[in-house]
Amino acid sequence: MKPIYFAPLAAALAVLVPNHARATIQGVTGTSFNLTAREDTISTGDGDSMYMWGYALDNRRMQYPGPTLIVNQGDGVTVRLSNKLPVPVSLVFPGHNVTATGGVPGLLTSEVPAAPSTAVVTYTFTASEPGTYIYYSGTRSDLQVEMGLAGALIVRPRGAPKQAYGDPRTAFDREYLFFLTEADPAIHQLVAFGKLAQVDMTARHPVDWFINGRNFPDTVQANNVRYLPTQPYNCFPRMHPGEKVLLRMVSAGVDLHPFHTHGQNHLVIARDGRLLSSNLSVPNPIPDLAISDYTTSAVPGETVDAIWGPWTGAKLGWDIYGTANLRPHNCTPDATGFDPASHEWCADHYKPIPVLLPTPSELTHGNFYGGTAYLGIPGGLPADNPGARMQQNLVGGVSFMWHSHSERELTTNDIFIGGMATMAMVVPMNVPIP
Amino acid sequence: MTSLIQIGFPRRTVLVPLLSLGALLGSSSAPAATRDVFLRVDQFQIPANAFGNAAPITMWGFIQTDATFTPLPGAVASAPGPALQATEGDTLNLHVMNKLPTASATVYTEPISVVIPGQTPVLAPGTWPTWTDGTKGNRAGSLQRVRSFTTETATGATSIYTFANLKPGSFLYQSGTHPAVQVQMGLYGCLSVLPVAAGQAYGDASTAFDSEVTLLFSEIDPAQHASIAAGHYGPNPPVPAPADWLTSTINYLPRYFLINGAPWKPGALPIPAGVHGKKLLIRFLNAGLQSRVPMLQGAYALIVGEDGNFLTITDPAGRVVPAARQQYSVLLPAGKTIDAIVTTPAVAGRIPVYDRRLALSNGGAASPGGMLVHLETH
Repeated sequence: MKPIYFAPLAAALAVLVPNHARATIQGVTGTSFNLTAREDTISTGDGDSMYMWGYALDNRRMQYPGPTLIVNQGDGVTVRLSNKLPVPVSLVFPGHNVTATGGVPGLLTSEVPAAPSTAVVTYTFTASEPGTYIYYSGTRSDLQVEMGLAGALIVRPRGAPKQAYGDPRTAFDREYLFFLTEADPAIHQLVAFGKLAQVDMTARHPVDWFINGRNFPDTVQANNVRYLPTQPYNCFPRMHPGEKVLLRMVSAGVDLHPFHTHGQNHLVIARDGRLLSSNLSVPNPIPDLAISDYTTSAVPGETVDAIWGPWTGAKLGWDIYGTANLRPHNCTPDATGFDPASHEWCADHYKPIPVLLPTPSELTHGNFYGGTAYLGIPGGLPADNPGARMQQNLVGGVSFMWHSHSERELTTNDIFIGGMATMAMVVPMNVPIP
Repeated sequence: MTSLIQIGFPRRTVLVPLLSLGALLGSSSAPAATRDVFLRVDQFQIPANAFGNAAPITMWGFIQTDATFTPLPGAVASAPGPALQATEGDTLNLHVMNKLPTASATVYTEPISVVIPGQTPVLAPGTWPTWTDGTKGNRAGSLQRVRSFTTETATGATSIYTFANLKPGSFLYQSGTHPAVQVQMGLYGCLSVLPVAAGQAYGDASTAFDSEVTLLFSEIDPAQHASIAAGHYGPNPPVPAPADWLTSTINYLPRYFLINGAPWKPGALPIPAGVHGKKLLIRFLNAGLQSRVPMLQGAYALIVGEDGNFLTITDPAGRVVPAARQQYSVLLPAGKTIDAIVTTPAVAGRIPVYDRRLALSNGGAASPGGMLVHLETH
């Protein structure tokens, strides 16, 4: 991954980086998209490669998942699909009223015939309601979704790009995509060898689990790394104390996944692009049926919007930025006792963590332990510590694992730890977040 | 929650077998009353090639009969069994005869019973449950295991299963005896109970609908059906045991995926779904053993009820108000029922409905197949 910029300790909280909002979900914006169904391979966390079918943007390589299409509420959206695969393919957009032209009629929608047909099917719809949506092949979907023909669609509310929906209660500081899938490599091998007739989807036995097309720990590598050319999207949520993080969860496989956020609950505000609201008939419904959970059922084909945070270390009983001897800093409370600059609770100012922590040499720790419990104070980790060597957490962030709580899904082809997992990191206010 | 149910209207009662709409039982204007339905449990076969199956599949199913347990004209044993309808407040008497084959060296059979999760059975003390040693009533020892949740009916015998003061909603009736075997063998069906307010799914006016369809999901593992049909089932296999002997259903691996008893196959007819642009009530029921996710292609549904409970919340003013969720698909775990209302598109046409867990093959052959139907408005 790209090392995160680390401000010297002496500068500590004196240099505050303005919290400029950035689009943290990679994707393609616009209203008109050209997709092509193609074959290619991806890399899995066990060192293997897997033959895939997927959607490619324009003339690029296919990617897993397909390009995240980002549009605005009210847009008329056009998606043109071409096909380089030896089987017919198509596109369905659940939750949208789609008109398809060209190609040949299928059971769910119009289909593009197998290559070498040069036919193009044009799918048009109006993105009338904001939210998180899914698209996938509506042709022999059981096999083609398994092979990778699926992607995410994000519709931003009109005039409110930093909200998930029209209501201000759905505002977020940062957003991340969680596109959840699973795969059975044996099926991919049969398809790669041209033995389609031997594929029996009732005998499917997935052993690989993905977020945004990657297994952990590839999920926390950077977007668009050269060694994952067909898996461009990472899933590495980072935030400052006090920020709200929107999880856009898209469950594209066929198994249920109990998705769990360590650290604190997330508030489920919507499913399938519709707010959890007792009255959806008003122009901007409110999420009055939102549910606070630490584990959310990701249901195949469905989407979930959930807000995690803000995490401020409230009521921890110790200073998240460290004690006076480790880092001199001020806490200037507002009327509620919160420092709006450093995003800490002054009631715990300079209080040490109330237990005696073992020294780094007495611990076995993973890539994400910064060496101390305090934000922005990396400890003196041994040189051979994986955290020091792999530079996952040079900024002294506090990390929480977000993952499927079906524990066998934390493996990649029987290798622990892998699969449907990632790390979410709270970093000090002075550390910029890409 | 049923706190919004209106009461005090004249009660209308109709008990309609799904497969023979002409055979009405009871009057359409009688007050809430005791309704008697006669069902027989038969072994039957799905013929070879009915949906890509090379060999016939032995099933157990309900068949609707007259009071002498003679099948009604045109009625055949089926899975799901006949769709039963009743009205809120009714008492339902299910008269059941067990006509499964008599046990022998080559025939496996079991006593049967009927339960309706969500409805209240009338049970005499000491008659239930039935233990694995055949005794009933309170548990006599720690070695006893439950065989039937209720009074059971031996092969050739009859029983009456009574459910009092029916509540509105969609319900599964199913075997309450050795359900791991009997439900997957086909002993399940739908009971829909209408509220006293006409044209609604529940007492609240927000559940009004113009027409309704029932989509009952289930599965078949043909290997288990074949072993049971051959008498090769039970905890004590002979020595040497036949290769297909099963001591339990633990290795359940369904190969056929059914909606209303049939998978999709070429030529499958759409399901009539009323007039376009109107409110369509869909009763989703899962009698299978796996979770399903019915997906409505291009439409949203208002989920108004689960397991026969109208969904409500208490608002900040303390009022109990409807709390429907709007989704394009529905999580339907095994044994669950969901009532959802779809406003059908303004133009007549077809709405595909399929399992988004993508059980879309017949016997493992290339899809399309499996759990896919088209709802057709006119």
